[in-house]
Amino acid sequence: MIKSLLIANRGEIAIRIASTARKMGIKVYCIQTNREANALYLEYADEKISLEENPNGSIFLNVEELIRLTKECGVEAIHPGYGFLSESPYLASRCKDEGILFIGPTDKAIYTMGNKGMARNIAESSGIPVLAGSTTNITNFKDAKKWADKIGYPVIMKAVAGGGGKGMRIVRAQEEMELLYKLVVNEAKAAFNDASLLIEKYIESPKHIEIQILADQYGNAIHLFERECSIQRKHQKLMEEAPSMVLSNEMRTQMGEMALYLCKQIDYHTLGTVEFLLDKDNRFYFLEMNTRVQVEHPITECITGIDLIEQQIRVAVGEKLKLRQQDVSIEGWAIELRINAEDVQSDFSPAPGIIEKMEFPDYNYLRVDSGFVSGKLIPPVFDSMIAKLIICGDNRQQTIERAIDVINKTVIKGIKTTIPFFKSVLNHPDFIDGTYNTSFITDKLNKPFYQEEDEEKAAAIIALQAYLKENQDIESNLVHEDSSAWASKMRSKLF
Amino acid sequence: MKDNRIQFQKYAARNEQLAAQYNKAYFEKQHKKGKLTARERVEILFDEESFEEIDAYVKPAGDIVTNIYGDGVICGHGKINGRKVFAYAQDFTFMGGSLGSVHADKIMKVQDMALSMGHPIIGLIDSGGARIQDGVASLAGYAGIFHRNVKSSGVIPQISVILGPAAGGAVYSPALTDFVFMCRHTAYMFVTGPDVVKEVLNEEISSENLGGADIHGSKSGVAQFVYDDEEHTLLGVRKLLQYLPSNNVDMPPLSKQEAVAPENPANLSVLIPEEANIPYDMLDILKNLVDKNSFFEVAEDFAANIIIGFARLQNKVLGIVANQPKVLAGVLDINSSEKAARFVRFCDAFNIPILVLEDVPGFLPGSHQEHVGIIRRGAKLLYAFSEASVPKITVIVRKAYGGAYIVMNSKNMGGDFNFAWPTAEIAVMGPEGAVKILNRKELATSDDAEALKLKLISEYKENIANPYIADEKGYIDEVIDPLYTRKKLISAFEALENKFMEKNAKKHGNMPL
Amino acid sequence: MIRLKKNKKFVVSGENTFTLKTQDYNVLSSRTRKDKFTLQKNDDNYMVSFNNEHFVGEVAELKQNKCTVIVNGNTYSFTIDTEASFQRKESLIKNNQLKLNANVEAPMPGKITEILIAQGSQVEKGTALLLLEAMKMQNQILSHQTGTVGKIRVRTGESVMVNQVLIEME
Repeated sequence: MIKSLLIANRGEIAIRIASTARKMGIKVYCIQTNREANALYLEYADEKISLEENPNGSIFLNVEELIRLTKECGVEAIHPGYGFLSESPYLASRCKDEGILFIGPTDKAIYTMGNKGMARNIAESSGIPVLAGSTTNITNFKDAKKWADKIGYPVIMKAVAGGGGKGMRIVRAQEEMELLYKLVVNEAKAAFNDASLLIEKYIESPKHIEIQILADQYGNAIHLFERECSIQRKHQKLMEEAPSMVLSNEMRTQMGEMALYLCKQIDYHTLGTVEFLLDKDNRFYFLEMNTRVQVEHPITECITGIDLIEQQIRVAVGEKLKLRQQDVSIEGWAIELRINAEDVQSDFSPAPGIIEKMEFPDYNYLRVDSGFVSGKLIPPVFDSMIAKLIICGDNRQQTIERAIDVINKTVIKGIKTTIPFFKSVLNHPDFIDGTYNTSFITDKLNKPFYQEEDEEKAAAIIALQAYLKENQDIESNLVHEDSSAWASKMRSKLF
Repeated sequence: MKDNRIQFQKYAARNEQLAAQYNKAYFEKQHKKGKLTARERVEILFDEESFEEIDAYVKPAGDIVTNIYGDGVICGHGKINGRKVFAYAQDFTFMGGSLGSVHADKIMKVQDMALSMGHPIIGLIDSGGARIQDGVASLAGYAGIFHRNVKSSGVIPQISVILGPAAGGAVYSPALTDFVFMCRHTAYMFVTGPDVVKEVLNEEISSENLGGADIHGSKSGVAQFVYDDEEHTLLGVRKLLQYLPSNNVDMPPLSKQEAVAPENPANLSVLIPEEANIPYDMLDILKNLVDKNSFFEVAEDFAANIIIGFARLQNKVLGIVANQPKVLAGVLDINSSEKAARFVRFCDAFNIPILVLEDVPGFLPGSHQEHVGIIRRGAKLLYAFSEASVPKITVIVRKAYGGAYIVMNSKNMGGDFNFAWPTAEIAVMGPEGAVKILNRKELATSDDAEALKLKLISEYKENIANPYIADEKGYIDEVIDPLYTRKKLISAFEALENKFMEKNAKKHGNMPL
Repeated sequence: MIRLKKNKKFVVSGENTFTLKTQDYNVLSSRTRKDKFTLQKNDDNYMVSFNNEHFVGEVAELKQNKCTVIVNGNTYSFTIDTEASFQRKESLIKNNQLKLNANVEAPMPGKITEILIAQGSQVEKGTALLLLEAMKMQNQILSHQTGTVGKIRVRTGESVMVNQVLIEME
């Protein structure tokens, strides 16, 4: 086992990784930047590496600097978390060159699966159904239009290097192509520094189902069932559940085996996720593969009882997978709620600010993963996610009931969050019966936030009362001077 | 029991006639225009049943024949939050509130009284302008009012409340007073109206866009307070008066309500973003220092890169001047310099101690600012701070660079106390600029200029742009923990309470105007 | 009759408009069975109870006659007028003297990445005016009215704060 590990990440995932690594007796190094010198994750580190960040780019995106720091401190391994360099083949390859253990796939696997076109081809050749799409990278508008016309609208344009819902747009008609193409290209350039796109047939209102897989370096691999992530807004996941209500055991096994077969094709030997789209007739199509730990991994941990980060570290150092497929099973149900600093009443627009107060109820079935404590500034430069609430239960109904209870007892002051949104989803019949899909927010929710009858009226009453009290002060508060000096001063001038 | 003697019958009849003047039609005439009547305005402005009218029965001069009393203006005195205040309210229903010679005499009478008694005066303005029938007498009336405005300036607080038109010469009385309030949609002020603008420049513009409340509140800076309707405008005047002394001899009033400290002072240490170029809201810091709910901002929409206003600290009134990093990075420009300078002079004239919260990257560069006179106009703030003899304290929160550091009440300009937070950066210029000048040669010859620049910037921040050099040289009195800033300020202002500065005898200084 | 203390009726306008009665600086509980409610205050929280429902809310901001209240994590912004003032404003609107604020403001803090129109452009409601990058997302800022673009107050690459005026509309 390794003795030391550098976490090339921040926030809740840094805390998550540090917790497991320290439990395994590994010394944890975290990077302290001037941007957030007092961040919570630093309290989970054994060693802090302090540095001034280049104003033009985050340290967590600077491969050479990370390699240098790792070597300088004599650290054996790097864990990239999610986001940042977690899917950078370059970091993986530089680690290999420098003899640093990269906790993740090989650079080749990252590169192959990170390129949406190549990933699609491999999936297709592995016998997984794929959607009609462009076969080459698109770098100009003319090609984009040509492909879109050929595939037939609606189509989806995706940044080849994309992920996390960024750099993706649906085009429903030819007229929209030009503006949307521009938007995607700008986004792709800004977020991934790579403007090339691919275009695929767009399925209306699919479900998003993903399979968690785990493989070692000796050809052993298991899948850890599915997560359903269909509650999305602009392709960003907002809440997830595991397992999914719509998968039969047969389908679960079929999709799991296909995902494993795909991994075998690319000689994959770490944690990974294969994402599928499920259409109205329960036909599934390969969407993409994520070669890193995912934000929503805790719900899988919750239903399988397996610490995924621990397994990821173990297979990375070359241990054999002890688990066999028959050893794992689904126990209970889990739901994850992503609490974002967003204004759900104003189309989920970012709403950064200061968390004045943040309190969650204390239940053994509630897990809170958060990079913030009360009173920490959420700066507008980073992700808007401030906490993940993972709620477990014996069955789905109980889990939903618990989730509603947790939400009702959660107190966050100072910023606007997605909490009112979850209340609205958890109480919605389409969510309760499991028929929801990725269009749920746009099609089914007439308001993206939960609002009780009379709630606005109650707010109006409060507003008026507060206003009256303020004006009572202006109308009736007396002010006084100690005594008037004016008269004596003026009188003194007489003589 | 009614007295039936002839004298009293006549008295009663006159009173009835005056009462009848304020009939339903009188109120509706104004309400239809979305306005209140002068009568109603006075009632809202003053404490209940405290207003005493004088000269209610005067009649217009010259050939104007009318049964209406008052000549279009209500004058008198009453109490606001328990303190005596003089006021006049123009009545648009009588000859458009135009300023006749008697009308002007009435106003001048209350102006004179307010000045000799040492009480604030408030003008509620709703007037079509000079009364043409009265000719030059009307103009002389304006001149008399302006002259009294100037005589009263710096002796008693003068407040103008614009609730209707104020056009032509009439605008200069408000301009001479300390604060101008305007009511949205019904009030407007301009020297030449839309008709003349159209005739001369062939430019089509509405009264509201030419000189409405929002224009003067945000663009011209003529109005310091803008409200949605008349009720709130007048309540705003009451609120402002809670912070102002009655005259330049008295101290600002204390509130009868107990001071409440802000709730989460711990937040102060995390309010400043850890990255120097991320903006934040200075109001968050301010609200965590002064008494709860006590901050009352002045001119919030004009030159928002500087915040001015009144607040209470342990119940004692302070004038606040604070850079606002959220707007234009808090830079000093012409508008913000003039806005703050006038406010500092007001505070100085009326014994209001000044607290400065500083986070300023410098003066705004550019040909526009230079050509419009940032030199002479920026100098106003310097002059105002330097001249002010009230207690003055600066807290440097983050940036304090170059000339802007000097201007913002620095120690050697007469600041009584200069405190700095550990996040302060005090230097001649920001790291980027300094490194480019200091290390020009190395940077030009380096293979990896970008990396070298970063290293140099980081060294500069470490060694120069911090509060400790200034602290060691005594330009900063103390580097303090944000958490204890409120406590420090309370005892510092206490120490300065009896501050007295002898000044050289002079008529007045020659401030750059 | 105008002092707030004595005023009997206020109009509180948010998404919906509520007419509420007050007395002596307190909101009067309605006595009709249908919308009966009570109001309590503890510390900074208020609790409004209708028949069986209870709402706990806090005041996020109160400035002049604008008040923002948070109930159950939802934010509500209101404009408060006395009934008399509300009627006067209505008559102003009728006489067409009241124009709505026509400026386009930044809905969130971010960076302007592209300006899609020029001064003088004719735009329709819903036309994309500029792109604002926030949290690495390109957000289209749309025109909320049909009209002519006036002064453009920002430049490409400029960082803007929430509610900062981006474009003046004519």
